[in-house]
Amino acid sequence: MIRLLVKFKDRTIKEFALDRIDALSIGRNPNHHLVIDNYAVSGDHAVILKQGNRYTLKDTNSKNGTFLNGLTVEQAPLKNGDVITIGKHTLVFLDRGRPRPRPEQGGLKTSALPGDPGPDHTMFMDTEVYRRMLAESGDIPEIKTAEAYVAFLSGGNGRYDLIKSLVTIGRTHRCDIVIGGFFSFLAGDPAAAISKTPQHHYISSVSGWIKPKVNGQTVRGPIRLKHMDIIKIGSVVLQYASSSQSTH
Amino acid sequence: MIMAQAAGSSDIGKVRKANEDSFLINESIGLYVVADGMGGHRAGQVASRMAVEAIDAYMTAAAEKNSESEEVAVAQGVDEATQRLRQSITLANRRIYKQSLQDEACRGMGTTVSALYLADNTLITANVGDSPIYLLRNGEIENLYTPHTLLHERKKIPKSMEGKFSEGKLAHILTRAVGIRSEVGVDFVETQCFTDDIVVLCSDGLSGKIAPEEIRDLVCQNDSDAACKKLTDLANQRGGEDNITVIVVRIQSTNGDSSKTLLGRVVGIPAWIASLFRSKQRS
Repeated sequence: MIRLLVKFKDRTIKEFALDRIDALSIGRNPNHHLVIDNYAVSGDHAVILKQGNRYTLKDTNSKNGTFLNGLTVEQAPLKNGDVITIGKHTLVFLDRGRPRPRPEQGGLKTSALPGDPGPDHTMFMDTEVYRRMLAESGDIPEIKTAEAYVAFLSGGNGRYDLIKSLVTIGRTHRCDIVIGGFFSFLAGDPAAAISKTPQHHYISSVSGWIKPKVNGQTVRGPIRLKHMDIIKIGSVVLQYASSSQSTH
Repeated sequence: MIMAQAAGSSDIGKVRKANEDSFLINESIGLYVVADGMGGHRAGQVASRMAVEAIDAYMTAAAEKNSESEEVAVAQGVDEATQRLRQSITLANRRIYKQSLQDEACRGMGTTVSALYLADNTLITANVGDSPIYLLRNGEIENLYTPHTLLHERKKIPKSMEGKFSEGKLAHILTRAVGIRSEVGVDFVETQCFTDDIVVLCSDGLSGKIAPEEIRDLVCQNDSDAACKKLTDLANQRGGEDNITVIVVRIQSTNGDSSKTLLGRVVGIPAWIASLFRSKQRS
């Protein structure tokens, strides 16, 4: 049984049995076997080809690349447990029916260093063995990202997901979030920016006479945003929400 | 242009016979690198030095090429800078890997790489392995790197292997390193840079002995040189089993606050009027 799991945000959203398929095409165009409707995905993105009893992943000149276990590939044979990343989707190749070489005795094989490394020495784990162990356990690594957004309380509708490393708020449509209203000409272009670090978001004032406020406090330098903080800039009021902070 | 002031030091520690760490401070192009080598005999030292030299040479050459053609220098964005950093680490990886295949004494050598590159009002960090990069801002400390060790990727350890290794052991098993394989995966962080930000890069000889909060306090209370010395001394006092390397980079000014003149704002009014009409049309 050879399967391909399609995962998105921790969930398996689709599953393909590859045994009877000669070629599985992937892309944004609706004529593909696996259609991923996302702008990061090219019309024709990649294809998985069956050659005899082997499977090969081939990138079909995609714009943003096809990643196999974190590295870009043009063409590569697939092994059990391989993780393919296309846009924000993760495809997991599982090949459980066939016998595999067993991991070396002792399980974890670290790259052999001359002499016995002491407990404080850093070692490198052989990724080949590691991936095989991983596949056996059925435990597929997920790439966790802090999800955060700002919701409009006034001056706009809905919410704005904070995905970009820099989100600007200002007077004109060059900014991601536009400040409307009569006095908006006093706001800078951009007036404020929300920047991202791996774990947090920071808001800072950029230019103009309208300064952003967080929970009533005027922002000058960068201020770290906390879950449920209220941001006010001119006529726009936003509430910051972060999934990683809301749990504790 | 970001103005920064930096200090760095590397110490052999109290137990090891060789210093396998290397570091680089290149203030003219805003590049800072810590590499923690591994491998028997002197191979770790060779690997970390090769990594630092390859990255420095590549980035310096790229910066020179950029300043020659001025138009390119203006258009040079964060994406391009990140790409260049990735290529420099890929190059280092290839060189070390090749050397390890050719030279019997260097077989299996590798190194961690943690780099900070200042470009276009952005802190760009790249890391492979477990050498920490910390950001100190507003008196708080946070990580600008992804540790590639089994401890941090515990989720990836299969059930059958659980409990086989102690936490201390897991923290020393790397899942990625530069020079071990023909390809290397690098993790990047890009974040806006602010005046008074401090970035600390170090090897695990330091971070294994001193908690992030202690690093934060020592760096905030001292100037860069004194902070490097005090951190190294403290790590040595607590055993100094590993080599200790630390770089402290203080951001002194950024041109981020490009506060527009009044004229600039008046010129901006047509755009503002246009934006009003556009929002009307939408609603």
